[in-house]
Amino acid sequence: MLDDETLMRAVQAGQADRLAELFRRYRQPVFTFLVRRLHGNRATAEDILQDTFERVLRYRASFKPEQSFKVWVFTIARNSLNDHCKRAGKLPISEEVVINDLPLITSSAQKDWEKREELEQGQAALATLNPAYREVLDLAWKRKLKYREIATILGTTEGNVKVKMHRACQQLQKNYQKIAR
Amino acid sequence: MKTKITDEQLIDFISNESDAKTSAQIEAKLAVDPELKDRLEIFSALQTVVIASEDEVVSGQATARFEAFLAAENKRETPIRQLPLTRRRKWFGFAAVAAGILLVFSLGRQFGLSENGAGRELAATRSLMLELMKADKTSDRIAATTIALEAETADPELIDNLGYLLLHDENTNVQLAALAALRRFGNEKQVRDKLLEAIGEPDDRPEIVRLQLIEVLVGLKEERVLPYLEELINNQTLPRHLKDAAQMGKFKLI
Repeated sequence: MLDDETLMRAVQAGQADRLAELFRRYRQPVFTFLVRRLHGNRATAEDILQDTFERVLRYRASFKPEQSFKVWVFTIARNSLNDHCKRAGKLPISEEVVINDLPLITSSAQKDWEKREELEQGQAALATLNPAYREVLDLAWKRKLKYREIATILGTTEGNVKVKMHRACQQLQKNYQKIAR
Repeated sequence: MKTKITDEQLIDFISNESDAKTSAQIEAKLAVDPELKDRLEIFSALQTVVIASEDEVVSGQATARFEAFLAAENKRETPIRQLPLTRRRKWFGFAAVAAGILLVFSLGRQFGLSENGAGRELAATRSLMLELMKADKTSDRIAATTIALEAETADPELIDNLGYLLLHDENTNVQLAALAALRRFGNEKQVRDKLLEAIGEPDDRPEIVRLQLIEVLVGLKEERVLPYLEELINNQTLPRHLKDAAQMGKFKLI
């Protein structure tokens, strides 16, 4: 199977049809990223998904060989979303997050997460997580991106991503404790 | 010296963001410190939850919309549109040759080429067509393959070239054009062997080509395709419509 960057180079070389494969690979991750930033507004997220991939084609010449396509496409999605929000006069998810007191978690209460019930509780805890926190966890762990890559996508610093990661984990632990209680 | 490993360090560790020194330190401590191991398990469990979370599903409508956009874009971006002048001249040159080849083929049909000098011309243009199938430009290969559709009879070299394009060309449109040309000579064993070779390759061949291959082979009533169809039907990673096409093909053949 061809890697993303090879496919993108083929798109650059004039094989626009190769973009179909990249769309197939990234439509769900990018759409998920957009839906969450848009507080669940799926119709708008689909519009921006379309715009994102139209931009990939339009700006294909600016893709550099050493670049990661994954980072590039997420960055374009974020830019497209920001443009949409500027036009609509709305803000995407808040970057502001409030940290409450975070109780210590005892290890005994946290074992065996792989059990179905606990995984479900974990999912419930994740659903109540601040979207800005969920976003960094998702990009780092589910999409397997490095902190510096996430910083590029979100237009922030690596230090900021690192802090958000740590706070996100603390809040997720706290949410889980509440649900599991 | 005893250094406490912080939660932040553990989070970075499971995120593959720790430097080599810290990673080594954590790994060494994990072997002897059960409390640290428990703390790491908590973060690993959180990570599992995030990884296991489901993606939002894009509607079929959105996918269709993108495919329509891409199809329109492909049409709009025909080779001539944005080519620099020198390349455009080459294209026009090729178009003239292509038109010549077509003319020779049509003359051949009308007057019987083997009996006159046009036969030699046909042989020359045929060689040119075979050469163009190896051209760097996709548009040249597609055009040469399309011209092959005009050929009255298929010779082994032509089938070989078309088979090569079907099996190895990187462009979907070239593969489809080659398949269409081969289909015309579907009674030839050499053609059927090429088609079977193409369907049997478990590669990243575009879905549209695979679907067409199934259709062509089933249309030719080529029963040797049955094991391949069976394989497609049982492949859990393939998209539903491809498996359905294989299933339908199987029904038609048995």
